[in-house]
Formats: sequence, structure tokens, C-alpha cells
Amino acid sequence: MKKKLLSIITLSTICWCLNSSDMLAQNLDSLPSHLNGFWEIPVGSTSIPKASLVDSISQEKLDEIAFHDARAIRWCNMLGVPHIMTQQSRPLEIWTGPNHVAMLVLTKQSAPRYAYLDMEQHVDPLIFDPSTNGQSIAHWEGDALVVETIGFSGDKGALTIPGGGFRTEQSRLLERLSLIDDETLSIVSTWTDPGVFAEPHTYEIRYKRLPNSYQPPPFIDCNSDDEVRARFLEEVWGGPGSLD
Amino acid sequence: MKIIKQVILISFAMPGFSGFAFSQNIPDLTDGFVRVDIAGSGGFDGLTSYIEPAQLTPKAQEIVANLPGRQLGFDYLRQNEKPKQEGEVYVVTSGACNYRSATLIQPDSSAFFLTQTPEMVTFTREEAGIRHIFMDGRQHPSPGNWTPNGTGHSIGWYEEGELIVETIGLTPGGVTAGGYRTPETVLVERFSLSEDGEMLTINYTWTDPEIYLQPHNYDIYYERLPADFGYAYEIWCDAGDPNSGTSIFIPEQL
Repeated sequence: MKKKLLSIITLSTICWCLNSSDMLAQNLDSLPSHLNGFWEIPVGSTSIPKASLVDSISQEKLDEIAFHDARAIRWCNMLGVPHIMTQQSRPLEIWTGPNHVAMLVLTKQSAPRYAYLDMEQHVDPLIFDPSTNGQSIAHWEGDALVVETIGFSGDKGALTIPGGGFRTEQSRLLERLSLIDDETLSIVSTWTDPGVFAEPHTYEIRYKRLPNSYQPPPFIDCNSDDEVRARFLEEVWGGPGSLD
Repeated sequence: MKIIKQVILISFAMPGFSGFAFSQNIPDLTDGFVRVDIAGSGGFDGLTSYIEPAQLTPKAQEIVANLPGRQLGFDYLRQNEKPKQEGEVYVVTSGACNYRSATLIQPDSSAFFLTQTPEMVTFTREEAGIRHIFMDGRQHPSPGNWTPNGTGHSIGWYEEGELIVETIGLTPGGVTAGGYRTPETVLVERFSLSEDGEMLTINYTWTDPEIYLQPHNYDIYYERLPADFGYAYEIWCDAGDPNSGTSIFIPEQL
């Protein structure tokens, strides 16, 4: 018994030493990096079914949301999730740090998005101001990154969700990021919102990895004072000033 | 037996067992930092008052003296503090939301966030824009293959516990404490942490024989955001909001 106790204490002491000293200190190479890189959406790589909406969502409401989003684009607003995950103007960048995963798009209409690996719970909604990207926490399930997001704004950014429907402050998004192969990333998104969706709305988008030598070009600007751009965007909605 | 269980539990509960720990050579720059006004100026124009002015070549002195911002100075911002007569014109913004990618090089008073990965360090703020610092050993592109921009082209490496970043290819413009830069100017930044990891110093060295008589070198200080509030906010600006075009200094009407 004494011998057993001694060996367990020895083993425990070794564990303690490993924990408390630099012997356990790792370099960044030990972090999961398989999702890191620049990803773009090739044509035809999306699979988006039509969303099943609750009966109370009228066509008038959907038209109102479409107008809202057109206005957000016209005035160079931050567009937020889901737009930044589905846009094709610039690659989606994913960078996995020690305690968060950054999901970034190099355009003026995209705020940086962070999914926190070190938060077990979302920031208290009483503290968090709803935003275009919401508040995301994440964890690993094997090699898949599972991201849960709440805290969306119901009036800022582009609200439309692929397949139909729109985000509100009650929306919840669950995303599963995993590699199909080294060059193909799958993001399966599931939206739930009792005021919008009759049942959870799920779709998948597949991205292709850009080569390691990829050099991001300069930031895409957006100038709300650009008259030519404004007239072009307003034409669909009834001409000059229609999106004011 | 109870003792054995306790010893095992204590051992496995020690910090760092399941989490990530940085090795000594790599500073933990993860998460947010915000600039500290060590000069105690309380104002935008005093933040850098402790920095030695740049020693410029005669040619660069002329360029800097004619920079639009230099001519207007901070009086531009304060013009609306003065009472206005009826019909007197004063400048307001167009309401456009202008995010300045240049502040990813020399951050202003809003927080910035770093994400460290083996191949990349990204530097972001609470608004649009990304600064990429390539850690994969690549070289700078040749000038013919690069369009100068507000963040330039940055490569980085770790050296004795510091992150070293070398940048070229910036657009021409002003630099802290009377400096200037062109796409050929080389900026080297050294990111170093205080012993407790709570304070970050970025040492900036601007080198360009066409502009500087000697390298323009200074430190700017930052503190880590508190752990409880270490998440990023999101700046909101709507150019379509009629209030966005009004001045932040509403002048008194006489």
C-alpha cells in the first residue's frame, strides 16, 4: 500500500511539475491550424434550401427587410453575419489563436468577428449591445469547430438570411466548421428564431482554400458619397434618394 | 485513499494542464489592448508630447510643412467651438463613415486586438480593416508587385520574447511626432510585454535616408483589456443617419 501510495504521489508530482513549469509551455505550432487560411466560395458550392417561416411573416415584412438591407449597402454600413460568411467580394479569413478564432473579411462593410474558445457562456445579454456579428462562443468537437452565436442586432447591417427569413435579436446561429479535405471547408449553419422560422433553418456553404502564397489585396473601400454608386443602387428602389 | 484522490485531483487541476501556455520566446499578445496616455495630456494633441520630434532632411521638412493636416492643425476640429453668427458657414462632416486603416499601424485611443497563429498575426480594431503580419518566413514583395496602402506589407518573427514586425509599402503620409513616410520607408516595430503581461510597449523605428537624418524612434504604451471585458465590441456608424453629418462640436448660435 505504501509503495502504491508513493508511486501515485511521484506520478502526481511529475504532472504538477509539467503543469507549473515551462516544460508544458508550448509554441504556437501546437494550436489547431487546419482551418487557418483564406477561403473563397466557388460558384455552385452552396446548398441552400428554402427556409420554412412562421405564418406571421408576411411578404410585406420580407419586402421591408429587403429595403432595409439595400439601404445598409447604400450607406456603407457594417453588414455582419450572415452576409460576411456568404459574400464573395473577398475571401473569408480564419485564424485560430489560443483563446479565440478570428473570422475576418477585408472590406469596409465587415467588422472583425471573434468566436471565443475560452468563454463557457455568452456575455450577459444585459451587458452586450446587440451587434451585426453577434456574440460568438466556440468549442472543438474533434476537428470540427462549433460556433454558437446570439446577441444579433435586429436592425443593424444586412438582416437577410440565405434561403429566406432574417435575423432578429432573438436569433441563434449554430455553425459547424469542418474540413471535407485539406482544400475544402464546409460551414453548416443552422438558424433558430421562434418569431421567424417554423423549424430550424440549415444550409451548407463550401469554401476552397487559397494557396499559401496568397497575398491579400488592399482593403475594399466603400464611399457613401460616391454619387455614381448611389444612383446605381437606388435605381432598383425608385431612383435618386429612394434609399435615403 | 482519500489522500491519494486529493493528490491526483490537485495535480490535474494545476493551471495550464489543459490550456495553452506560451513558451518563453513568444509573448502572449492575444486579445485586446488600449493605448495609455502616459503624458497625461487628456487631449489628442498631447498624447505624443513626450516623444522626441523627428529629425528630418530639408526635403522632408518642406513636405511635412505642407501636409494638409499640419496646416489646419487641431484648430480645424475646434473651429466649431466658437459661437457663429447667423449665416456664418462652418465645416461639418459629410456623414460618411471613414475607417482609417492607418490606425492599424499607430493605434489611436480605441482598442485593438491581436490573433496569434503560427503563420499569421492579425491586428484588428473594433471596426473594419485587418492588418496582416506574415509569420511564415515570406519576404516583402518587390515594389513593382505592390500597391501602397494604409497597412503596408508586414512580415514578422519572434526574437527574445518580443514580436518584431517589419513593414514597407505604406501610402505617403504623416508619422507621429512630425515624421513622414513613403512606400519606401521601412518601419520596424518591437512588441514587448511587461513582466506581468499587462502592459504592452510598441517601439517604432522609421528608417528612410530620404526623409530622416537618423532613424525616428519612439515608444507607445498600451494596457491589456481586463479579462472580464476582454471581448471585442463593434463600432457602429451609419452614414445614412441624418445625425451622422452633424459636427461633434455643435457651435453656439448668436
